[in-house]
Amino acid sequence: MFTKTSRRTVLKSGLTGALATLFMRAKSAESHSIKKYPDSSGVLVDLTRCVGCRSCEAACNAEQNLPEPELPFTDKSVFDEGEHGQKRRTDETRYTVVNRYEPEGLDHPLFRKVQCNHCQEPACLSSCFVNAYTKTPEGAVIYDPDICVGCRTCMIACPFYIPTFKYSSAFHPRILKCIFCYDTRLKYGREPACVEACPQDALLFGSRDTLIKIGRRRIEEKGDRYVDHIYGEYEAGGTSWLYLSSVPFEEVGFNTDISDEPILDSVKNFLGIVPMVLTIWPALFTGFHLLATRKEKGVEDQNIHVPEDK
Amino acid sequence: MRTLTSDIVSLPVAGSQKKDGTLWTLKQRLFLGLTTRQYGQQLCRNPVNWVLALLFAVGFPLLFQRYMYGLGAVTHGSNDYPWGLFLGFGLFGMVPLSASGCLLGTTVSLFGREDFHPIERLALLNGLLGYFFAVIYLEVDLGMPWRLAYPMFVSFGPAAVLFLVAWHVATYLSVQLAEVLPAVFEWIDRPGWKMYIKRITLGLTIAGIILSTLHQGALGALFCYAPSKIHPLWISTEFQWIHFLVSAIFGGLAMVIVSSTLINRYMYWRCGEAFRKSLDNLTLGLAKGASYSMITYLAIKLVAVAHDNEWEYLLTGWGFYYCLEIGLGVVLPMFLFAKGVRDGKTGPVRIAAFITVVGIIWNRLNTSLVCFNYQLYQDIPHWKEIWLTVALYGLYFSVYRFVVYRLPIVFDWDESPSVAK
Amino acid sequence: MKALWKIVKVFFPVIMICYCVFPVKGMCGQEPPESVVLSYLHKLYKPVHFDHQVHTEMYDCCSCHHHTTGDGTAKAGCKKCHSDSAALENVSCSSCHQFKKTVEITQSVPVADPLYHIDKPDLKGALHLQCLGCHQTEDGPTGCQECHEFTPAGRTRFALKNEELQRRD
Repeated sequence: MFTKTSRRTVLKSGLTGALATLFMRAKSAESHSIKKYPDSSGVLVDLTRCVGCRSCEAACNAEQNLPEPELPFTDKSVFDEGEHGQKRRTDETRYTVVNRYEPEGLDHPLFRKVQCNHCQEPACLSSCFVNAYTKTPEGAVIYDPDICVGCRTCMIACPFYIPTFKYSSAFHPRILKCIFCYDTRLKYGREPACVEACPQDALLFGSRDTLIKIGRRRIEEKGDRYVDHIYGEYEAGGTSWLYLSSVPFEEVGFNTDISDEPILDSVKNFLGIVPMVLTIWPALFTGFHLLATRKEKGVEDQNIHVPEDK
Repeated sequence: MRTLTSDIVSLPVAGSQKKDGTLWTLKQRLFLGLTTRQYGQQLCRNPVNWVLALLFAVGFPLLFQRYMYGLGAVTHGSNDYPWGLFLGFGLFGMVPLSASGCLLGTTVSLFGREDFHPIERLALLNGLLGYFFAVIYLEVDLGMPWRLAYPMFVSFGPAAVLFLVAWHVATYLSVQLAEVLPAVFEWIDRPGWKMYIKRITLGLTIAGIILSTLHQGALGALFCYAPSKIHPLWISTEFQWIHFLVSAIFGGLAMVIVSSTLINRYMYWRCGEAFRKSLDNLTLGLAKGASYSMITYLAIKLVAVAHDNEWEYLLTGWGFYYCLEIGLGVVLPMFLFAKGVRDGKTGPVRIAAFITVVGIIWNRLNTSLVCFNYQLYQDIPHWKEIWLTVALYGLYFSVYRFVVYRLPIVFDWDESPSVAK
Repeated sequence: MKALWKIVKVFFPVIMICYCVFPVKGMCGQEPPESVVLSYLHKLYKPVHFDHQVHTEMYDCCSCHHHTTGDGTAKAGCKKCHSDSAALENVSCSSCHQFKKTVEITQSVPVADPLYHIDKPDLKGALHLQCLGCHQTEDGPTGCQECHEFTPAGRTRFALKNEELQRRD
């Protein structure tokens, strides 16, 4: 694993690096996003196939040992709009929910499964000030409850409204969210429980790259059945979970205002000024101080000297 | 208190020694030179204390409930609105209003404007207490308050904006504590110790500027994590940190005006000669600064709208609300400030300062709550959450008043010759 | 005795999967089965008795089967190559559609031309897409429990209490 580093190799790599930057500046500026997770797994969700049976919800509940729901998973009344006229969302008792939509001009409803999308560049991860989140090479975004402080910035940052907080607990609160069944399945190369339970093959597990190819193939072969877009291919920097739909995505509850840049990019402006302020401010304001207090001192003493505090 | 001070000539405690040359004991200093009985009487006579008592009577059980049964017991426990009033008001509202310490510190120590000295300590105290209570609010809101120090010592996420906020607020709190310490030293008859602080005043002040620039900005930048959730008029990923920083300047100045006005009006007995005499002039000086930073703020606000090309939003309902916030919260007080400064009248300036403070809080609440999730629904906080927020503010008020009553903040400590070597 | 029962309980469904899922020989060789028992979801659901006969009386083979029965195919995409393909020995669904799969498994199935025959549903998906898809357009039963009756484990999985047993979607 370790290569011998001699002065020559350092020099060599340094020179090549310098040359590379000289000649390849334009190119590297263009390839802004480095693909960090080439082996990432993902799931392709085909909304045209989902029938809203909620088997995935039941499987998730069993796999993650979540509390028993108030209504059984066979109950379809949960598809009606709930509090605040909102569809159901993930919370501390459920990491995934299926919602029903009735898009105009379609004679049947469409169902959309909601769970963590396992972003390539997760907003929850980049906003966490104690590094409680990890993006594993397999693609899962997992969470460490032992260092979490409970500030809930990740919930603010997540553009998909996924992380939820255990508000009901005073002594053991934590963030709860879908972890791609990392501990029990993904780590061993197995598909998550919801995918295994899906009767309709609406959920397809595989490597993200392959899933994108398959998604494109489906759009290509059955153009009349799909809109020409894979949601999640680029959204928020790309997500491991990808979606195909027969109607424009905003009609089935997807936020299409989310930009393709990862959330991290929108705070980069500010993070960029931090070193500037840290290095320039001290000198600048000491200078101001000298200028501002110079006159009084100057009257007494022609020399410009640093005024000592009295 | 006012009535008592006029009765007993030796009051209030304004120096180390009584009239007869003996030192005030610690108990006497704490009880303002009154007997326990007198002290209790003056507490009961003040109607403000009854309001505070009512706030605390309900508020403290609520606080207990929050720590025993979780945040969900006193708030809606909303996953869509993870930050409620505790942070929206307590952190995002209190911190800009506490920029005063840094601002007046800069004016006096860095720019050598000694004429602002009589109000400097009040500004420093206002800053210290504001930050301290922002942390208190944070401790109420954090899921695991016992892990407050984790970002400093246990696990680091240095690329996160909140990491910056945590470090800077923590460091800045200690800077502010150091800046207020001289008042404490005088009060405990250790004026000699002031030297240690004096020597590092310039360093502390510059550190204060750096830390303030960064964390005031960082609080704004925190909202850049949710560019798709906050209404575009209230979020500008390019300029958000400048908006928060610049509004903190006039917010901090306005808060000092409000605080000094209240102290001058309701605690006149406590105010020293220098404070009483110079207050009007200083108020006008602060107002001048505030109106300049307000026009700067308006300009950057406009630039932000132009930069993101959000003109069409201005014609919607949200746009109207935005104009209302800017108009009432910034433009109106700005003109009042300017008018007051031009006419040399403190009346309009003081009204403007009150409006500004409310305007700042309004803006922070809009950003963090009202215009957050503008595409979903508006969440009205649980009454317990509101009560607890107000009760904590009552606690802030009490501590503030407690300190101003005792420490030489708005008056000069009369050091006894035997102590001051 | 108990152990024997256990073995039966475990192996019966497996055997069912192997032999009962459409064990149809090519049309030329053998008559189609009257009924097929589908029991590979045995953990959560009781076996489904699929009345193959009724369906063959109502529909052409090619409405469900691909070109493999020798009848040609109704699907435009398949027709391009398979308009006159001969019947296969084994036309059961399970002969091509694996019981469980990930994309990687599909990819590893050797196909002559990698342009086609990728993105093949697994057995569970194939059956549901086929049956439910048709039932939706032809007004067949579409409720989950109209075909699948819960086992006790299934009831637990779906958080059904006993009194709610009658409540069906």
